[in-house]
Amino acid sequence: MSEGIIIKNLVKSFRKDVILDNVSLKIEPEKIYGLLGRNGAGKSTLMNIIADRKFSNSGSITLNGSTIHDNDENLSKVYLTSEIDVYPDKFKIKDLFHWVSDIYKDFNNDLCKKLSDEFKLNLNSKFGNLSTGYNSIVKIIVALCVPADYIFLDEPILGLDAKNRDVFYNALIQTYSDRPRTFVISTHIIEEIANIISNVIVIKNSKILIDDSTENILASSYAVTGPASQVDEYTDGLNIVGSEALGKIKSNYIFGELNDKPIPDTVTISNIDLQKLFVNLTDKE
Amino acid sequence: MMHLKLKNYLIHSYINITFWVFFYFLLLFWILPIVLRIFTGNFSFGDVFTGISPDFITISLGISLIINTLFNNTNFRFAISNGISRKSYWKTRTLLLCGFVLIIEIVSFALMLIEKPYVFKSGNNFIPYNLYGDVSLYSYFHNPILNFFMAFLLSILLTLSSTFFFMALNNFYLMFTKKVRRILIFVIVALVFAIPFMIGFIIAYLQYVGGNNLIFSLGKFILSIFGINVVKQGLYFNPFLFAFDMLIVDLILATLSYKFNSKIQIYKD
Amino acid sequence: MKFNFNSAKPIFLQVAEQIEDAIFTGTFKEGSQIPSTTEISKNFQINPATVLKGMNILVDNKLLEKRRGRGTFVSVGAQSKIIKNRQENFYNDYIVNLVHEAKNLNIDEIQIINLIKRGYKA
Repeated sequence: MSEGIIIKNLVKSFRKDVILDNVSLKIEPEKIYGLLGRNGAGKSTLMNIIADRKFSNSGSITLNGSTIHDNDENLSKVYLTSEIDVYPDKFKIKDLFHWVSDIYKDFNNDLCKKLSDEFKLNLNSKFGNLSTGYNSIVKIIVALCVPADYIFLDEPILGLDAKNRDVFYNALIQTYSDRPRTFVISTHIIEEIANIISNVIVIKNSKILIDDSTENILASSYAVTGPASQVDEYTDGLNIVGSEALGKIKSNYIFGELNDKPIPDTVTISNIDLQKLFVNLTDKE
Repeated sequence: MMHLKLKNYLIHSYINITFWVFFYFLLLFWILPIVLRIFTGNFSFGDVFTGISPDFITISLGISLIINTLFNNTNFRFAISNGISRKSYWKTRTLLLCGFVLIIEIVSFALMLIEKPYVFKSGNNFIPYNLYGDVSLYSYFHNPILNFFMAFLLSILLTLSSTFFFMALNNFYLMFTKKVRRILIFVIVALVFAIPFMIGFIIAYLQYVGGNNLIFSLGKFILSIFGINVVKQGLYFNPFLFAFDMLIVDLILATLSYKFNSKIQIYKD
Repeated sequence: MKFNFNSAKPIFLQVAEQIEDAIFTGTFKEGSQIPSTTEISKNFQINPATVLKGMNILVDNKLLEKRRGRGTFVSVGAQSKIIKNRQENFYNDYIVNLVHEAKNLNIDEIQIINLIKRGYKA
């Protein structure tokens, strides 16, 4: 079985800014990852470096034990789609698909045709004339049809309306079922993919804050709600990542373990969804 | 042999450019003069045939080669984003461009042969003895066929050197971010104008100082590296040395273009 | 099937429970095929591996069986197995809480029995 992508001590800085600060990570095969973090946290840079589009200052990235950089075999297993346009503007979409499938011998032409129909993509339009939404759609289609094992999608739903986002999620689930492989998706609209992703990576302040399964994360996130003073007393010493108040009722959001203190009757402990958790986790600087 | 996955795409790209260059060339230098002649009333039917020249082919091919070497960004991005390493891309591209150069040289020499009227006149020699006139530069051998092939080889090496030069230049340019690139363009354009000026200045100075032995000897020495020996009247030229030097230059430039290529990162537009 | 994504219960467990409920109520009849993991995941936009994990719990408990190339089917006798299981757990699942709540409201044993009788008559 393949080992996955192993990232060790990755450092990337640009002039005086440190974009990635000693990042170490393992991206396992056949899992769907959500890559979360504020704008400018370093998500795009990380994905670009893994896909060998940009270079790091130091650190190593290997796939199945050998480096990805300048390695044709490994590079054909990794695919990245991002806001940067890599196709000539004058290309018609059908030509674009033709050339990509010419390079990738096992490009899924059937799925490509099926998705083009589902998204109502006009194959004769020129790439440079596409709207933001259809620009994203073309990139999504290619990403789902290439025979790579690690697909990185950098904000794939930019400009997509609700219906097309649905088409995308369903297509993602279907193709993942048909041929399990790793997807790493960075997005800000967390609630829509919260249940599709099996693992979460959070980048904050150029470092990896969280790298775990959604199951584990949800199991360690709680909302402690009740009268403010009792809530504060109960949650004293716990990892409070945020709070909300409505009048005298307060909710403290906890990420991590609870304690052994007895829970007052007026205080309830419930769970919070991924969206709320991440908004609070990535909020403070 | 390596994968050459991008071969079809690049060939398509190069042929596409060549076609359009040729098309616009024909439009500009054949169709347009005819149209103008029609409008000014000077048109005669024979103009259709005299307006076209075999040079059109060689020049279009040459321009297409320059465009394909200088404008590489889109192809590079396309390759890198579709799982092709920088190394493979450079190898495929260089191989194809060398093939392109070979084709250009064959076409231009073939056209030259066809054009020269006295090819068919002289009895036994089917290759014109005076292919390059009396310039002793290319009459190193007594055998005209050897001269011809030497000229062909040297032409290839020279064209390759400009090709590699442009490739290295383009790859160097692509190594930098958008802001730096703008500065680079400015510097390069300035140099393109400045260098001939500087060379002209140096030559004028040399002619002025004329008998100064040190500078003259230095100049003679530099030229001799390239196999060009200065004698009392004219130049005596050793093509083997020249070919060897050009080969070295080609290898150096090709290596530079490879090194620069391996350092290109993909930035936002 | 319905999921509560905010619940403390992991989704794969909810998948298992929902399918079990459907078998219990007869919505998924014995011997019939249940929706594939892909169908369920697409319907609720859940990770297929999670759905599979939930299904496998029921497969391990012999309530579902996988037939290669054909899909997943409800095992014969699954419904009665579930009923028997729930009967055994009835005391813990319902009675304990009922008594606890009744004590909180000062409802004594005789009153509870009367309430239960009333419930059966309705």
